[in-house]
Amino acid sequence: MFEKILFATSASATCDDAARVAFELSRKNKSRLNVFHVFGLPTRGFGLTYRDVRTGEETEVDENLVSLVKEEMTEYYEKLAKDHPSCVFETTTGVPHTEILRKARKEDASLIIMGAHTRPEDVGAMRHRVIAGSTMQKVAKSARCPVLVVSRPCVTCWSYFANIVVATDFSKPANYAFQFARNVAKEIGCRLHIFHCVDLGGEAEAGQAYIEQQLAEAQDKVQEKHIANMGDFDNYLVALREGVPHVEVLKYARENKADLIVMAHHTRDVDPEQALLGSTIEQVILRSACPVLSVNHPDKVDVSPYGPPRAHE
Amino acid sequence: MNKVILKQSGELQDHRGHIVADALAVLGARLELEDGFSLRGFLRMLNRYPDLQRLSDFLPGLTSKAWPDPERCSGSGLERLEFSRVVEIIGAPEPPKLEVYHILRGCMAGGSDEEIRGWQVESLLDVPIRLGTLRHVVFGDIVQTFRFETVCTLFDFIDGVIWQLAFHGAPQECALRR
Repeated sequence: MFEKILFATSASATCDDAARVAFELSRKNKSRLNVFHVFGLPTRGFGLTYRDVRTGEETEVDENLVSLVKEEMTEYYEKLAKDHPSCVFETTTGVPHTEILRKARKEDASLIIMGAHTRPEDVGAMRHRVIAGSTMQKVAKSARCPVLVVSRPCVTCWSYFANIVVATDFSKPANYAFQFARNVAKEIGCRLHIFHCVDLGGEAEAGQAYIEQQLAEAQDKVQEKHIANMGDFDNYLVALREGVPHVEVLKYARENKADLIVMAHHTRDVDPEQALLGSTIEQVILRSACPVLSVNHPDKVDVSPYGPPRAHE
Repeated sequence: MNKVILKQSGELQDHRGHIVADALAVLGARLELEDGFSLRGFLRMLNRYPDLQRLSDFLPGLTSKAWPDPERCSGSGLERLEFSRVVEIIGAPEPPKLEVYHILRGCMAGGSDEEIRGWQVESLLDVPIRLGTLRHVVFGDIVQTFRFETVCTLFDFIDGVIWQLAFHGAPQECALRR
């Protein structure tokens, strides 16, 4: 299903859940797996020193150090890599999100897999740190291929997924997310839930008639943009709710035992730079029990062998 | 500072021993928990004082759910839950940061404490909750942790617990395909 998977990791326990998914998925799909770790921040663009992100100390980069870290990482994933002899381990120094995006472009990755955090977090601490400014956020925002974020243990293997929820707001990126979700659901034979939440932020006083009108419009859009493009895939459900989008997405996913939530990174047609903080997907990633997949670009969405003919895409 | 006691029945009792009618009026009061207080009492409080449910979008779903009786809830293996305030000073990477937040963690019989996100709410409903000490963590060349006696307000407690509960709700088993 995915020809090349890039697993961007901190090579620590915080990425263990993501590591299990990355190794399992690449083994099942016979994908080429790249395990990639970036450490340190360069002090200057072309400097030979870097600042360790944990201690803040300046250290000189030499080949020895890079290979030492690589060795440590290989050892850390020894158990998982045992059944996956072709996986490639690579380390580099630099700004993590820049290097990950560079690597994904260079390798033409079909999927990036990441954990949501670089250090173990207490739930309380997430309130301060959330995901804003994190490597994951920057990668998800700019990557041209889908980005799978795994922050909690994945109870079901990818190929045994029973329910995929795709949350749509009918924007262009949401359409790409839908295409990807439909293709994956068809490929692995699971149910696709097309979910839309009428955002009542600031319009709570509008009354029942307004909500019903919005829901009817949403139903028409689902029909036109998604159901018309289902092809011969018939294992789907449509769910419409009203409220706060991230709350409703999470509630729906929990009620329906979702194994995967697929969304666009910025679910409205906004300037990506303005979509940095507090977007729906970040709130969903923060609290979701299942992996969340972010799709922003049409690249890598219609990967062979799936992809039925579409009416208006 | 005025004191308010949160009872397992969900009632709030002020420092004169009267049952509080308006929870908003005592949000800033120093909190004490009745002996044996648990999350079940917390949910009862939210049902008794529905105004408090407006503090989080996830609360209406939690309070309207029909939770099983104590005898039908499976044990969690936890001795107690501890609600604490954490103050962290983080020097690197720059700029230096001070973070203050609340945590609700599980304490095992052996004394170790556990992140409770992986537990189902049902199994935590009847575990006693205690108010713990303040943890002051300094991330410098080495990580140093200090503990201090402190108090928390009713608002700190409600806000901290509902933030934690918003992370719960994972399905108990996988779904079957058609």
